[in-house]
Amino acid sequence: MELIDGMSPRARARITGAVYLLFFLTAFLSEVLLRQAGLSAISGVSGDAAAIANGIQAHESFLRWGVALGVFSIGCYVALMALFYQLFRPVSRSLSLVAVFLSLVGSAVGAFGNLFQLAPLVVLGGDSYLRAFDTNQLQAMALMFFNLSTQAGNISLLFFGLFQIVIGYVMLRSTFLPRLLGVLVAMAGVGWLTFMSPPVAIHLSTYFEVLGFIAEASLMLWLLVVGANSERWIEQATAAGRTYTPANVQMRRETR
Amino acid sequence: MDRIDAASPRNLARMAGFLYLLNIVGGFFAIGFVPTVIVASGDAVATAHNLQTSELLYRSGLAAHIVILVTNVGLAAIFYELFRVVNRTLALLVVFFTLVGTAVEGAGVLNQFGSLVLLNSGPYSGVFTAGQLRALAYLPVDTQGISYDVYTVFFGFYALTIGYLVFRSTFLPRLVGVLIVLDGLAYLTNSFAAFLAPGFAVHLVPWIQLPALFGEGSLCVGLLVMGVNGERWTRVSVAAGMPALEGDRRWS
Repeated sequence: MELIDGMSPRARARITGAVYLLFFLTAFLSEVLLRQAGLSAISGVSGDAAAIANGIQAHESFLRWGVALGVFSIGCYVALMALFYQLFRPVSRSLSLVAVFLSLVGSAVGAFGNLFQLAPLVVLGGDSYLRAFDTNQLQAMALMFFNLSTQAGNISLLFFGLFQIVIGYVMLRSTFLPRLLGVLVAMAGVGWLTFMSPPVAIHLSTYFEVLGFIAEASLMLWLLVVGANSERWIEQATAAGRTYTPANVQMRRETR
Repeated sequence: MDRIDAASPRNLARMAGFLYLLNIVGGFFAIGFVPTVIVASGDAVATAHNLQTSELLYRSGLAAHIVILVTNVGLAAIFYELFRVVNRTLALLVVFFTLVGTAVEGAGVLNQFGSLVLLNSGPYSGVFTAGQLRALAYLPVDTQGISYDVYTVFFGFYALTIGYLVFRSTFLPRLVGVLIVLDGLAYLTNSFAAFLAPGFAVHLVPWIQLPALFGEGSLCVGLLVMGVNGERWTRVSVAAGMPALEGDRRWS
């Protein structure tokens, strides 16, 4: 049987949930490890540059594992987007495509940000050419690089927010997933957009982070545990007049 | 008649092979050759001197790198057309990994222009000492390795996916698929070794780059010389229930 394409819509939805879970776990672990090194991909770092630089050097392996898992998690997210497109195509081909393209741009910006998470190790690495700067300057540069990665993360949030609004709307119009999930995901997307304005974000960020977590976690768990309603998925796909993979045709025969 | 859509699978494959060849030759020049001439490892003074005396060569390397990025995008579109008949989801994944990897790679090229900006005495250059300017100009050279390690994670995943598709395709040799999967594993090993244990990763070069030569090299030559087996491609396409391209109908 052909990988993914040859499976029933429900099985494909559950695989989507499994990849989503892998993304969740690696992204979460990445942030935990970065915090062990005194850093945070989400909130960046502020305060005494010397103390932070010493922390980075003392916990270098935490930083390295944090970045490695962070890059891996983006790889999972890119794979997730191909699965999302296949899942939501029957609802609206063009909107699903718009949604995953927004998310891909966000992923690329975020992945480029990972470069700036390792750059502090280069600056603090003590290569002889860096002696042109004194220690304070190098420590300040290390902090600046790391915070650039947080800025990249914030830029990618704009794309992820728009992605979630579009895909949430598509979910709402789908018949094979609960409508509530679509509403939650779209609201979470609106929440991420408020991060564009720091004064607004300061007051609301905690609420929107909680909302964002609940929305994505419930979507992930629903896909993983329940999957999508195969019969309805096929109905919606039939209505959209798409061509079938052999497994879908077989599924339809079985459900009749 | 549309030029690309009307092309037979064999012609599409040839186009991909040609783009891949440009990609490999450009990659050898931009990533393999130019840095070895310009960069004096760990020596910011010598590197700054080389950058200034061989600026045109350095710029040619960056320009070639941008050409590679463009060929990646074209390759992604052609590979989607060729492999969607094997597995639509995975063919899409090939495109997505390529696009994200290419975007990260492109942003890295911007960084490399930074060295020239710093050395070509702008209004801000007086604030730094000559030593500091040279050190700042060397920094993008130093961090280029990290950028490479990040984007090759996506190209590693790309290679695993397209290797599987080639293996299952029946219209390209299975051996090529196996070689590309090995190539993908080598990319991922190299990147994650560089993230986690840079001291160890140094010893992997250049051996770790050999699978890329065999994997992507064989795909390029296979596409360019043999194209794909058009008859089998059409058979796979019909079995997948996909409407044939205008070109297949004309061709078959």
